[in-house]
Amino acid sequence: MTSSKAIINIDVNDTIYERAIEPTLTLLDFLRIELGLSGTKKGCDNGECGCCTIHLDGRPVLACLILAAEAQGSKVVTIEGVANGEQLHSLQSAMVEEGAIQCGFCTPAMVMNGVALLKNNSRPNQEEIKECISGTICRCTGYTKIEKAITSASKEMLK
Amino acid sequence: MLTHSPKTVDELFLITNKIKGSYLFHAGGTDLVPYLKSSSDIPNNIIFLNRVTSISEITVHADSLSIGSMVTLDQLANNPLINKNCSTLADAARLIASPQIRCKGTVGGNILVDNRCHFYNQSPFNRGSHGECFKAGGSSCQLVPSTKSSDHPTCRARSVSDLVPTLLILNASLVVRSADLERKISVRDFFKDDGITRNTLKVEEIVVSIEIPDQECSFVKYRKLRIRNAIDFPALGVAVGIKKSRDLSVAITGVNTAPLFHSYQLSDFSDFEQMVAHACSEGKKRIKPLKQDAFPPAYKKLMVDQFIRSMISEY
Amino acid sequence: MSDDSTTIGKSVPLIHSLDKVTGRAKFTDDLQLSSPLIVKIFRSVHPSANIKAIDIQKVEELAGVRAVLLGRDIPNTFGVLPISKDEPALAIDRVRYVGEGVVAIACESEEIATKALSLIKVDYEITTPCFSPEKALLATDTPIHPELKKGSNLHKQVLQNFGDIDRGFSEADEVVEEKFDFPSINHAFTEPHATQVAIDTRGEITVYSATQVPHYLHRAISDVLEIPMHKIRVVKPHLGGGFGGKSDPFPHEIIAAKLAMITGRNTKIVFSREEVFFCHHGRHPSKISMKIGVSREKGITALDGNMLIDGGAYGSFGVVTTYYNGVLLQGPIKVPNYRFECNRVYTNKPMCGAMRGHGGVNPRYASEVLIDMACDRLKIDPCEFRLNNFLQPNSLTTNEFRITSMGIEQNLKQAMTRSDWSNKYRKLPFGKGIGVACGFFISGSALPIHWNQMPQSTVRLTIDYDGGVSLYSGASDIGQGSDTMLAQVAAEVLGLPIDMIKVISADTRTCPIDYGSYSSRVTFMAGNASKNAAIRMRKILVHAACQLLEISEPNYQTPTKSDDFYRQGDQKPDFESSYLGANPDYRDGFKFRGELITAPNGKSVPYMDVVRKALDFTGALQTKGVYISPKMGGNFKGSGAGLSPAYSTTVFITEVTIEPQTGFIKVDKVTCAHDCGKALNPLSVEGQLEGSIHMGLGQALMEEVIHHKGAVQNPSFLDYKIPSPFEMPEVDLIYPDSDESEGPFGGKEVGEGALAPFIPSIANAIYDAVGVRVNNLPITPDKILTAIKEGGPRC
Repeated sequence: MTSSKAIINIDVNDTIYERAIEPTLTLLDFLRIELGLSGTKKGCDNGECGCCTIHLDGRPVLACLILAAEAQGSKVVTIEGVANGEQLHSLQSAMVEEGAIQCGFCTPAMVMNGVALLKNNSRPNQEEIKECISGTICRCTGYTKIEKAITSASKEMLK
Repeated sequence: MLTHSPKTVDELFLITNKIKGSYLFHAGGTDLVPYLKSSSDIPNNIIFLNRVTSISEITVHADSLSIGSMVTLDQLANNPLINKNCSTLADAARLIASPQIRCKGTVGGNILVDNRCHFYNQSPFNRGSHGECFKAGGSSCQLVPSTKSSDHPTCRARSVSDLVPTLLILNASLVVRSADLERKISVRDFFKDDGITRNTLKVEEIVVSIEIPDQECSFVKYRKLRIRNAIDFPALGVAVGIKKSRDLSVAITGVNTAPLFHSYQLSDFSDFEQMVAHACSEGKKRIKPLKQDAFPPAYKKLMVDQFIRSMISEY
Repeated sequence: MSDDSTTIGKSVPLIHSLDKVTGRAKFTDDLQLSSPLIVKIFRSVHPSANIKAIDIQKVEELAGVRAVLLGRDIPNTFGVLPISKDEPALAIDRVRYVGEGVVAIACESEEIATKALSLIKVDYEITTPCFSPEKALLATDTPIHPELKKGSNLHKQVLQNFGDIDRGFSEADEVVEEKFDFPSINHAFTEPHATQVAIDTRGEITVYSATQVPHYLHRAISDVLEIPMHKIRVVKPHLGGGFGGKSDPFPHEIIAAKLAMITGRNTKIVFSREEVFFCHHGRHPSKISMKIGVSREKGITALDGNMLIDGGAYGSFGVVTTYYNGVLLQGPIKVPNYRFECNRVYTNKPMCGAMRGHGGVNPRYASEVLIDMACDRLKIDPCEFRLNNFLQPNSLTTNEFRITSMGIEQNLKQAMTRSDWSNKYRKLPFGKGIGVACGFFISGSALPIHWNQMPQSTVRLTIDYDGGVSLYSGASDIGQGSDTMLAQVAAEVLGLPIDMIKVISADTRTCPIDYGSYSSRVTFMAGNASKNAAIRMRKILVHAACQLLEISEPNYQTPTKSDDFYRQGDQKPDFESSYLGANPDYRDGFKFRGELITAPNGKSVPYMDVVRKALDFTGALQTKGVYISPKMGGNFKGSGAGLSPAYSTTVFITEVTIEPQTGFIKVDKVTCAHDCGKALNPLSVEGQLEGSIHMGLGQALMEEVIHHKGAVQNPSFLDYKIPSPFEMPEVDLIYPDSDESEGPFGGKEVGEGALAPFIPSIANAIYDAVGVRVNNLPITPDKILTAIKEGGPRC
């Protein structure tokens, strides 16, 4: 097997990174290992737990199912890029206040799911909220407080 | 390994002509990336299809609708044209996997999705604990242990596309390209009754688009059996279509090695109810469920009947 | 008094939430040690085989491989319980399950490690595996653990017999008996097992690991690798869910430590999801026969249970599980005559251990379904029946568990009202149903698993010149919020805002020993220790305040029953004693309100002035608080099992809809009333209950680890089905304060107890809906449909 590195330029959280990478490197390992952005979690590395949800060109996707080489030229937002400095996103504040966080392993992904929903849908109903988090497994909360946090964030954002 | 990102279909085939050695097309990657992680024998080249804009669009023609193979499942589910003209296809797309996977997974990818088997779809380690099966290049089948290499098919991995049943009902065609040939093939002729080869697509071909003729049916429904309403593949998926003439068609996924399709003409039956009853009993007869998931085979037989009837009751 | 409460009883967001919601919280895999060697484990593909030869020559020749470890390199076996140390870190001479580690390697990179695994060749002599728990009971010449010299694969047998079981059944108006079958359940925490080991120039190691019990891991590494404990430090970073599945010491933790010692390099191992399923330690699959006698007048007259639990290849917590299968049936309904026999067997499958609701979940299903059947036959309302027969506060169970607070009667009445029980039970249309079930669980075990006289928990507090309070505890925050609870308790006593309490926990170098996060013990035991430490600190501060204000030291008040909001005990704190007692009454007449401390005479002095006065001539202020369980329990073998300083109870009233054509089950609404004593943090209480409901829902309707010839066939989140948000029911939670006099500020168990009774409440609701019972879990649509079609009462 021949191996040659691919040169990629990726905008991650508004910083452009140029790196030479193995073509088989996943975007998840790129973020976690190459960039040290460990907020995006690896729970299964197989697209099933949903803990590695990030935004790729504005859409919520699973970083473990994407080759970093494919994301060349794309814009990536991870959990580290959601808050504006110390100013939390309304959903982050709501997650804290509503008790939507227990072990916290799925939390970054749940935030990414919810932020993506709220960007396009300012008044999501309960079905839409369930749908938006249905690709990420939470074993602690039973999802109820996460759903509540998304609802209360949507209300807060309409103010 | 080298990666390639062509921007047009022609450029894509220029690349494949030049490549020495093996290559793989990368569409949405949601199945390909796990494969690359677990496989020890990966190709020298990956050709990304995501920059080929011409195959990423949904367009309307005089008497048909064309869906580019690289349209994502999320785009399909939310596209106004699709929701207006064949809403069942959008509904079926919404039932696939998870929101994040639908944002990446493509229509072409779902049509070509590999057949699944509880024994094959394991890590190489876990597969190895039982000895390699036919699909993995071995000479045994855990699912049907009596299978011999002379049997057909040797692999009973089940087809699991959620889109295909509705596409069968809608009489869709696939536009398929290779370097020097474009061909169009009906979805109804595309699949092979074999868990390994699955369909008639050749290694050097790609699916460019899916063409859906107008007004094949006035009523189309799809129902999916799964234990939870997210993530899962269909344990059984049934689509029904009723034409203006009240002729009926039924398509079934999730059970046999290939999706099933059958149509019934009302004129062959004494009345509509008799036709439905016949379609139900045919459906039960033609599915060959094996113990492959949470649902026992006998239950799937009952559900084929139930699903057909329940959907038609909404007609 | 309640106006004085600063944080207790208030919904306090968990103190780590901010770090977790911004992605800053570091879990074990996130730590960046200096160029760690990547550790991987070569695993057995056979469930039962003798190892004839291991060929590692090609591996050792591969560039970038730094060490190769075999079973014989770590000859000492281990196990979480001192009575069953039957597990090697790597297989020695034989393998006992598919996925058992045989060779471990430490390599410079992930790629080299993967390559190295493919070069290992093991020559096995395959032996006949034992998969069936029934066959495991039979005599055999080739047991899985010949060293136990048992002649069969029986691991542990427990028999208990109280009262007069035959007379009990003779007094019954109705005797019901059924057989039940429960599959293997995995914890399915989202964070896979992970361990990193840092080694310093003196060869001393720091083990960062996703563990629920740093202390047990500390002991195990020391024992197995024969290193003095002081050369090992165990630290738990943020942890992504445990549920019992990270409470044992594990082979990979010992292996990573050993490889660091051999190579002098940092090491790192992170499991794939598949490896998590091989490692397992989940809920024991079990087969239960149970018989219950019920009298209209006397309630339950007798209970006779026979449990066969499938332990898999090694012991883990299995001896405890064997006891818990029987003893936890002693509540919440009084059982005057009872007998049980539980047998745990070894089989050639991944081992089972502790999981949320440990040992009590499957038998609870059996007993609560049987009670429902008996009530149905006797035409008694199952809620009314239970109301008349609950254990009473301040009583003893038949096997001499000491019952203190018991709020279940009120809770059931509230749940009946809130769910509109009496207008629904047996009155809903076909397909709709309502069912009830109750549960009972421990707040920690009164006896430690390593016999010793140490306190069960110790907490240290320090305050230095900055006025911040550092709280040191060995308790392990696994996401349940124990760090927040510890801070809340200390903040309450010291009248400080919670952000002034800095919790340093789960680090064996800096924190005093705590027996970790399992058996629902942390709030009760570590919480009391935190309270004890804070009371001592408060006394130091009061002393300094008195000096500043030039007033005399306060007299501690003698409490009266009327003002016991804080659930104080009836004793003044005895500051001469090492243990102040459970909930001593620390009221000294001072008011601690953040920046100001006010004396009984109304004069105030700034908190910071008091701190700095207290530092005069002594330096950093330090106190220590402990928790020691009171002496309790009967004088018979096994009397310690299930013994706890307090018990929680739970009521579930559950409503379901069954689609009769498909058998599909939708759990529509759950009314859950849990007696956790005083809810110290309602947000946390609700989170634990909602989480228990979700996990119970999974076990009830879809979860099952499937084995094929010993190999786990569904080791993934695609094939091991955890309910999605769509399956979660509407939840109505009730948790009124009850009076647990020994719990910290009145708190007791909430993390586990609610899981068990939820499952039979679904089953009983299904019976109400469509008249069928399914006795083999999970209750899937096909089983419902078959039962409906057969028209029979069960499947």
